[in-house]
Amino acid sequence: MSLLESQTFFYNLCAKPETIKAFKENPSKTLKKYFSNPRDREYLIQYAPERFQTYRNHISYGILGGIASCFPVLKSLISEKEWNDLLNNFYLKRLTKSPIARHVFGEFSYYLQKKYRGPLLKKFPYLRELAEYEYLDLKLFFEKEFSHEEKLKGILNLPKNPKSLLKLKPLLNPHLEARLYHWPVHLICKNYSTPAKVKKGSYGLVIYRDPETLKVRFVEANETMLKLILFILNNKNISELIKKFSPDVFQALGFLKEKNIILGYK
Amino acid sequence: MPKRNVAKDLVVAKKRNNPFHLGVGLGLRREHFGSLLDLYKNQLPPEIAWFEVAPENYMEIGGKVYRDFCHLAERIPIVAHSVSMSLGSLDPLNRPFFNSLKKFIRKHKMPLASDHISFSSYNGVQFDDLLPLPSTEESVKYISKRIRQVSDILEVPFAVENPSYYAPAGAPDPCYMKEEDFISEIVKESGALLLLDVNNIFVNSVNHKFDPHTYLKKLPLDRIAYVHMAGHYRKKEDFILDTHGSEIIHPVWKLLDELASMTQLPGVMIERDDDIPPIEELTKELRQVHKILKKYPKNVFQTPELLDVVA
Repeated sequence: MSLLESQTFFYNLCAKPETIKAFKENPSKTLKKYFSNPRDREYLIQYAPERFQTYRNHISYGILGGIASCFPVLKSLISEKEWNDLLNNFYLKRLTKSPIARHVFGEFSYYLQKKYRGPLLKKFPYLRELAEYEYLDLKLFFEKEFSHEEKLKGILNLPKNPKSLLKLKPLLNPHLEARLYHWPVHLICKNYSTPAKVKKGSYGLVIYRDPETLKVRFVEANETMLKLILFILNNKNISELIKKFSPDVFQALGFLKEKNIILGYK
Repeated sequence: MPKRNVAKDLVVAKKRNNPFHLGVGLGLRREHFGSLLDLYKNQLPPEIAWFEVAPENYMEIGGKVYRDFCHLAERIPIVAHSVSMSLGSLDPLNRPFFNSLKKFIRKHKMPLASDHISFSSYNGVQFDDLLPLPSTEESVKYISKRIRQVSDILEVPFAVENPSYYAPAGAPDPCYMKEEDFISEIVKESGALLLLDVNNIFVNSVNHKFDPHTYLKKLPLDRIAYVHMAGHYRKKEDFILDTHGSEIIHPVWKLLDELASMTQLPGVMIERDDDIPPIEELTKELRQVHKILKKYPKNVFQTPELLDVVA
């Protein structure tokens, strides 16, 4: 079946650098490995291996260019060689099943969180957290509206009557991620990246999409604030929040409302 | 700009024995959203009647990009031109993807969908490129069946594009030694329309040494849904990369002129995917399309205002 042979050949050319290397070194031998019919081999050998390599180049440049633009801080910290090695490693292990190209950015972040064990982790101990932070920015920017989002329209501000107030539940912005990082990923840039400067600690961040501008923003948050967000997420009403966090919770709720992290009360 | 009545246009087109009546269009790129929404205040430059989009870029997203896309899609006819259906792949069709695509096409009332005569996935691995198929009977039968399946799923008229390619995927069968025969047979066997990329004909004619004029004459021109025009990058004398990143060159314009003299074209559009200039710059090329079409009475489907613009 020539279609199968041909697609197997092109897959290997595009996915595995050793195939294109072998093809350049010994075209006849490589073609023999993939094509059983001598007619195919005689036809293909008329073309220079560089022509075939164009496909691998296109695919890798496309992916690599896209990743560089979506992880700009990470890219700016790493040398050209380190960056290429990192992406080539990712590329080899990348077995995406999605026909939607932008999904590769999530895969790259996942790869760094779960699979990558290379030397950059020592040089940049915050690498994983930084990559996730940059990815969350992109994820939230493109995140689809949730089906219940329509219902959030017309939500209430806090009523003046304290009795009815206690039963209300704050409504959290659905396009939000809260993290407690070990590194100040929101501050890291080319001039603030060395281990001497970047101190390990506890850095709470709330990253969210502003419903008015649709831009992604972040605010720094202490552990109590992150806990409060978790409680709100678990559908707790104001009475329960006061019990847990003291009446000072109103100040925090006011801040979250002002920032569009909570959108109102129901 | 009031939304164009696509249904009415389709009736007109049917009378003209063509399934579509698109006119002159442009590939919609995010880089142009700002000027379309602000500078033109929702009015299209008169040279543009419709947009083509890669649905994969706007499916399953929300936020600002999608809001702006919807704003434009409510006002301007848009057709879907995919790059990742992987029509020629031996992998099973990705049903969730096609179901999602179908919803997207329906939601935005797109009158036509298309993709390339190529494959882009293998054993579930998806590549961001259009890989070639061998010009064989096996390929014709296989891809035609898949095109029919996709067309049935999407429930909109479907077109296939002649792709550019840099190296062949195997020896062609004797009956398909010529690329145009292979393309024509797929169009015939699948029942699909032809999205004819004139730049790809030129690119392939240089890369694979054939006469593009003979090629044009052998295609099923009555099956053309619309035409792509684009620029490219000449890497060597005998090797062109299909980059869509520069101005359209004279021989490609000449091919469009020749094509327009041969048949009635339901639509022509400019594709620009790299080094994207402002919309004003691209309208120069769109004017050139209008100018060529205007030479042939059967291809004058512009509105009177448009005729003024290109006069």
